[in-house]
Amino acid sequence: MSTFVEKEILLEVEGLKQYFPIDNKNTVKAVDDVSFMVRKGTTFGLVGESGSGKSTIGRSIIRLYNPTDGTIKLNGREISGRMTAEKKHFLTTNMQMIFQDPMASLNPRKKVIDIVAEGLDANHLYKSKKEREEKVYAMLEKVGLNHEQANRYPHMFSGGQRQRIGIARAIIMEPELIIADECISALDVSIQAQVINIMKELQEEQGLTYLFIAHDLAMVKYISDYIGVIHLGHFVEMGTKEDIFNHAVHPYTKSLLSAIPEPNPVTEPSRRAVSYDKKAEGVDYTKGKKHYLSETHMVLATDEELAKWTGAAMH
Amino acid sequence: MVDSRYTFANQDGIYKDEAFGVVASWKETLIVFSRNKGAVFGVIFILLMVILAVFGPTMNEYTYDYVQVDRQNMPPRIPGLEKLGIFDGTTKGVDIYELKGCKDEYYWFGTDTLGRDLFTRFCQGTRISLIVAVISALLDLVIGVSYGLISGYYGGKVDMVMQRITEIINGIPSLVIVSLLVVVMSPGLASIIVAMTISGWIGMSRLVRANTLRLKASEHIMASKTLGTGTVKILFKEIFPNLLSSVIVMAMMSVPGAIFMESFLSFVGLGIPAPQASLGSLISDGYNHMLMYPYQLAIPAVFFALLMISLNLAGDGLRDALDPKQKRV
Amino acid sequence: MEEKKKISDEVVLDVKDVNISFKTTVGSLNAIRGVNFTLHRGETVAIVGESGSGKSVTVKAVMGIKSANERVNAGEILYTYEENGQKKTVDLLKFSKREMVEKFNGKHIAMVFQDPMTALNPLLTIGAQLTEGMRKHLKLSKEEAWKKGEELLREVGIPNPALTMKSYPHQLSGGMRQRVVIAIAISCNPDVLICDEPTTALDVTIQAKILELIQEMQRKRNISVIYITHDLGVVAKVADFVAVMYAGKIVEKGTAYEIYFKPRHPYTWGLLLAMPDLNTTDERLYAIPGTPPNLLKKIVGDAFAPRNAYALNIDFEEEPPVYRLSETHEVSSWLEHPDAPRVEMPEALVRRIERMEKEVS
Repeated sequence: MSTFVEKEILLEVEGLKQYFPIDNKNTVKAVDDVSFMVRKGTTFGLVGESGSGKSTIGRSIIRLYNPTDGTIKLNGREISGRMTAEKKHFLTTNMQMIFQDPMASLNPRKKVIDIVAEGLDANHLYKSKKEREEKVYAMLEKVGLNHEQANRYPHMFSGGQRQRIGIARAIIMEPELIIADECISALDVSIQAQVINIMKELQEEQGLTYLFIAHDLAMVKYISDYIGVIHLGHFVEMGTKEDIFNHAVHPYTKSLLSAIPEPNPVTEPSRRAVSYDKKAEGVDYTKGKKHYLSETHMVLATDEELAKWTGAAMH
Repeated sequence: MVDSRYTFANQDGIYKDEAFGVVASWKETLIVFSRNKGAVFGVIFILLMVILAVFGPTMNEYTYDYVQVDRQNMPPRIPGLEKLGIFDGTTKGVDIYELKGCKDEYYWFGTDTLGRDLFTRFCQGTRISLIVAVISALLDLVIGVSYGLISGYYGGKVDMVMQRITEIINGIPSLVIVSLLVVVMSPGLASIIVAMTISGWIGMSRLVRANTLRLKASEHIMASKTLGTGTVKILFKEIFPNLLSSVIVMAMMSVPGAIFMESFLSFVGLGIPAPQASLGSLISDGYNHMLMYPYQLAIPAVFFALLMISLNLAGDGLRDALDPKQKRV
Repeated sequence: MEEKKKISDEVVLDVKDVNISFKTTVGSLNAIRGVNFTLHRGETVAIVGESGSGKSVTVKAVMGIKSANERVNAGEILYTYEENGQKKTVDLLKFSKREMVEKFNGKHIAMVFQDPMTALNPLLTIGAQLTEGMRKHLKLSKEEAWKKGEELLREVGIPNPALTMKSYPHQLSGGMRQRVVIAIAISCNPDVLICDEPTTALDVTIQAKILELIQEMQRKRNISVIYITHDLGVVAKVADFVAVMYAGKIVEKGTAYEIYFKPRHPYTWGLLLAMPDLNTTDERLYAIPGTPPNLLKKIVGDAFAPRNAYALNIDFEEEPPVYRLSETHEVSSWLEHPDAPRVEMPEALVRRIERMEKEVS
């Protein structure tokens, strides 16, 4: 079993910037110079709150947006820059996405079989109607749905079942990387557990790699091997589970960790979360440098900030 | 001794997921629609008019253009109802049929100044009006939907240019266009339809564009893009089916407008030429003799009004029934 | 471990055997099939459940918010309040929507909704919305209400009250908007505050602050609070008493301590286990298989039976009765029957509870 750092790199993102011009003067810098790697067969947990830019990163990588700047490489091949038909085909067959809203991510006017087979249709990945049907049925069984339901419409399914259809739609393309964009946030707690279990099973079976975008740190800890914490378009801290949950350095990471509620009715009512005020602390992400505290643990900070925070961590 | 009711049911691990929902969505639409009494009345009346339009002109032995000078301005006479004292061929107590010595003839809606049977003319007129309205609505739909889809989906400069064009077209008063067209083309069905289509599609295109803009940001459209689906397929398989209900309702609601427009044009003399009839021309003719022979105006006017109301009621009912936002629970 | 708070004996709200159905195009949907709970003065009750459990419908019934196709089949909601120095008890289900709005909504029973974006009118200033209730129910003049509004905003922690009164909702962040919604809710000094998932739409770092704010308001004004949520972390923070709902019925209820440390219903175990906490090391998250039942069909026996690994044969025939485990703890499960086999909660949950008990001491 190779250790984490020995695993092959599947996705490499370098200097990704995604700016959205609002009018002639103002630009929203949703993602501002972000670099990270995702290793094959692992799950990278991308954590942030609303407005952090996490969903934008996912969409830029899969080219739903055109990145303002930066390079993205999948399996060594560049997928950023000008889009060509060849690149598009490579992208479509190697990377897929699972979306957040179970209501909106499926076309209400299409049957489930057509929804799941859409990728196959678009890329001509089957020779006969029978083959298409068989592939879809196999996928539905894999995600725990009865293939008899393939001829129904989405509104006849519950939220959890719809997300599973979304997963089937993505994995039928046999991608190497799946970007899960908050795909369990809209589900009930016990259904989240179901979907997460399926995702974990598929990962073990097929060696899938996930980029798991979420805001729920507890769930992220459960499923991820490596975690990146993002705030206002910058990675403030990255590391393995161990690094982040036991040795967090950046005050934003600490505030996120302390905000996680604990299901203990005796201690929780009086527990107070640690808060982080970027302005008050005088932190400017554009001035920070990437410091590597270990082979895996990165913190974005100026030298003074780093000294202050690691000094504080040691006391 | 152990009561078997209190032992484990020993369910196997395989849990068969049950799918929710029992009724097909179109069936549910039908149920909700049929609960709306106004809408049901509307549909029935529209069907009646369609039947009259299709079969009416051949129901009796007269044609719409058969002139009989000696049968001018005869009041309506319907067999059966005349025994009740209405539609008995009398005007102010005088039996006109007896006067003219044609007691064996029946003109159900009476005759006009040229002695032409008004019932046949009415049915013929309804036929023309409905044809004009339906063709016009269909053209509006095809042109409006395509225009709106393209403008909304591509956005940016394409959208800007396309919308400015619609604004320019919209700015020109339609009566001016029609009058000019009538001069260029000979007056008739074709000229009316072209005239109404020139700016009629704009409303539909705006509706389609607005909905397309909204749907464009939907996650299932994003999913289609990531799966590699081409633009045309996205437009027609992902976006258009989700617009369908609004489009159908709007098309239905544009029919009364088209009929009214055609009737108005006929009323002012820019519509279909004599001896052809349309509801509008009948009303126009009847208007000229309103005081002397009120039935010539009353009958087409009443049916016309009822048709307008029916189309609106049915369209409203359809909109309510198709509206997915209506929370049924 | 004992609970720290002593709950008053005074009953404010008594929900008895409420049964509500919705008439749909495909039949009658029995959303609430017999719900019972009480709310005491100063107490916080959390109603926990997932989508389709009926928790929202229950509290909307308390507020008098009824859909056109909603039918109350049975039950009463007895509300005890003080009017002109006199104590009155009324059945809220008997009032029409209009009467509820006139007499109770805002004035005695107030609600904080889930989505701060849509809970405020985008076209009116914060001040206008904040003073509306006070001018109507407390009969204050415009100036008095405005002043009181500013005080309320300060109380809920808004940094610049005077400016905020004149601002519009879109100029505030989500957390600020929710604070405004809370201010509006408490402006007329209600007895009962209903919070429908008040923090679900907010960022995690803001959630805790909003919950703490509601707790503070509650303590100061002795308000009784009902929380609707599916988040067991939120429940642990705020609740004195917890009612777990499934398919329109309460399957287990008790003090927060009893529910978290001594749960008895398999559904409660499932909910507690489905949440990974920071210490979960298991390979698989325990997931309750399947989905909640379709309430259009009549339910025979226990609604949870098909998904219950511990189901008994009788669960498919007869509905389980309510068993009293303590003065406050009740469970609706055949597993409590004397003839039923002894069932222990899952390993993972036992370990977690042991861990929690260690933390406490």
